[in-house]
Amino acid sequence: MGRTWKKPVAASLAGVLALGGLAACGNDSGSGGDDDVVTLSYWKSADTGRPDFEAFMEVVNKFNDEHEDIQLDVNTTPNDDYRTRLNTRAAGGDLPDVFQVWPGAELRPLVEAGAVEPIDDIEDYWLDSGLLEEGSFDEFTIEDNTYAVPVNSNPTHFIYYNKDMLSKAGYDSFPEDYEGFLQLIKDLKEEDVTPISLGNSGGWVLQSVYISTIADRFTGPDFLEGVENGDRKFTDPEFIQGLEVIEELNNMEAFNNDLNTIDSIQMIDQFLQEESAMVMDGNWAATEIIENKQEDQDIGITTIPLGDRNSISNTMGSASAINSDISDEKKEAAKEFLKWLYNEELFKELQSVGRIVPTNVENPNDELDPLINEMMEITQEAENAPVYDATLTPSLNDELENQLQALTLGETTPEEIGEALQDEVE
Amino acid sequence: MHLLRSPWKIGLGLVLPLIIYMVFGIIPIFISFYYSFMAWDGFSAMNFVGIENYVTAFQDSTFWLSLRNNILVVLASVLGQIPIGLGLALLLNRKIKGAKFFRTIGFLPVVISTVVISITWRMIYNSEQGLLNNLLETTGLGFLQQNWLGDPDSAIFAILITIVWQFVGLYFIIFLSALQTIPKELLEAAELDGAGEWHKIVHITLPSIRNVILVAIVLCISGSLKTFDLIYVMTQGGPAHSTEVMATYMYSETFEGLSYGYGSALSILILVFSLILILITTKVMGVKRA
Repeated sequence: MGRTWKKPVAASLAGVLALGGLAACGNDSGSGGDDDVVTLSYWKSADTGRPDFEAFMEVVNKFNDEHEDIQLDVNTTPNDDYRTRLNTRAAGGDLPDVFQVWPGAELRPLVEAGAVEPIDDIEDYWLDSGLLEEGSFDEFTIEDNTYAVPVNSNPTHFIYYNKDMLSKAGYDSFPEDYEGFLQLIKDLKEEDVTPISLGNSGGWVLQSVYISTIADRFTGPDFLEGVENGDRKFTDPEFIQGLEVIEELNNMEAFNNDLNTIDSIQMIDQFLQEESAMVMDGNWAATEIIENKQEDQDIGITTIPLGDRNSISNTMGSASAINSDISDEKKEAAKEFLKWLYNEELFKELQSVGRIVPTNVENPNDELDPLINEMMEITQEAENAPVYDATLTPSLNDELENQLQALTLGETTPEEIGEALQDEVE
Repeated sequence: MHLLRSPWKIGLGLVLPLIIYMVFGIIPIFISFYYSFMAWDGFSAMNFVGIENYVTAFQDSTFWLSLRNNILVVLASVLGQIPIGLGLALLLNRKIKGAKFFRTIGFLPVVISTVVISITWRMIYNSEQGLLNNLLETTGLGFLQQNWLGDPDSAIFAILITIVWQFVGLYFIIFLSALQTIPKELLEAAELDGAGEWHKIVHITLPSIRNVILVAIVLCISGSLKTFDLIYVMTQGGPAHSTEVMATYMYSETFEGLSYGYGSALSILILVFSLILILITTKVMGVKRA
């Protein structure tokens, strides 16, 4: 604990000194001597207590020990607030030197405003060493320039289920088709068990975990692109069918009834306390489930059996980008930091706690939890679908999340949602 | 006394606060006013769109809903906090056993951080494990159980109760201290003339603290217009916007939806609405300028 306050204090002291330096010499950006230490500020969203976040930070914090010429000043913000904070700072033209970014719609406005430095010149570092493939950078490439390095792929949809609770309801394996899935929900209800835990108070779970995959099974992966260039519409029957699945699950009371007042962490808690037999969440939940489950709990993993294609919404995650508005010296240091950080150790660490990394690092399979192995297999076999919040503009995504909440309250219908979203597009 | 003889010194002392107030209070209002005519996502170039943001706001059902909720908060505060606070103050302004204890209890919510209050009440209202539903269940009132914060019809009222609870203590203390300034002689004289408790309250106590009540009402209205933190933590304006007030809606549009122009227009509308409301209150209550 003692360490946590020292950093902000040190940072603000550094700030005061930097101001003093500026006032004193005017044109020199605060470096007193020539071979001074370069200080880099680094912003990362925090999921405090989650094994993958702790593993990430452990590697980050090693950086300072190994580098005397670069001093890293790390600043973390709770995940839910991070984007708001970053965007607000960006609007004020005051971004940190290096910062975590999300692909697609989150990154694009920052790039269009010229706030992010292209890293094409160091991309080969990862390609040559085989740590990352060309495709890993796709989501961070905007108009031929690459802007960030990712470290894990981030499938946002899985169903985690409690095998014992399912077998009590008469299921030795997970149903293979949608009809069977609905029957399972009915049978669980007969047993007086909440079939699926859902914590949607933040609004994003139904969007990122549910609709991104569910709608894709009907619309195919080109849908959102089609909507953007006007070929397709949110009022298309395929998208409506996706919404109808959520309506159907809600109508048959497949969810806990406090779904709109609890959050995604509480929904995992409910599942682990065996108040429900299933929970749908992204790959990040696996680390939490492995860490916190009771020893005798046997947890299975699958995806929703729906439609002909087995797709999973997926995106690249934990990427970092560089501020374009810093001195060349700092840019060099920032690139060195990225090369050092996005390296074998980090990939290994993240994989060992259950994140899916887009590379073949040597982690002997028997060291991984079977749940992770299964998750990696499922992901490799599945087609990729876009994640809605990584593709839609923030305001459209906001609208979608609110509409999905309204759907669970019976205040709107799938058709009305389609129209409302299409209105927003036009 | 020396100071009062040279007013320019007082002026000098006021310069710094004035600058700070201008920079952080007044100038941003004008900047917001300017932004409110723009379409702007915060980073890219701004586009002038005239009064389009205002037109959108007036056609935006969520905006009207948030305005309605704001009015509900004002009403609940004025009609809830003030009478209850006054009632408690009248009760405890006498020698009862444990008066100090009750005073402390009553004031406690005011000094607890709003975030703590929000999280606590969110747990109390939870439909499956919450205290309230469990209490109803065990006392045989199970039929009254609700999904308090999850149901859009009850959510805003559940929040109103929390808001009233949070600030009753503040007005209670204000009224209590006002009551203690009423000269005992007046009340004793009334007693000699044979006035009962009720007569004393209506004809002596209340008129004596009339100004304090008026000030409390103005405080109460302006306080409720600022409502943000409690709702933001308890429901984030949800489910499906049903507990949105103007400030939370403005925040989510601006900083989460990245519509800085529209958000600025909303904040200007909040300002206009607040000015109108304050104007009406001062007119109705006949608060005179000193």
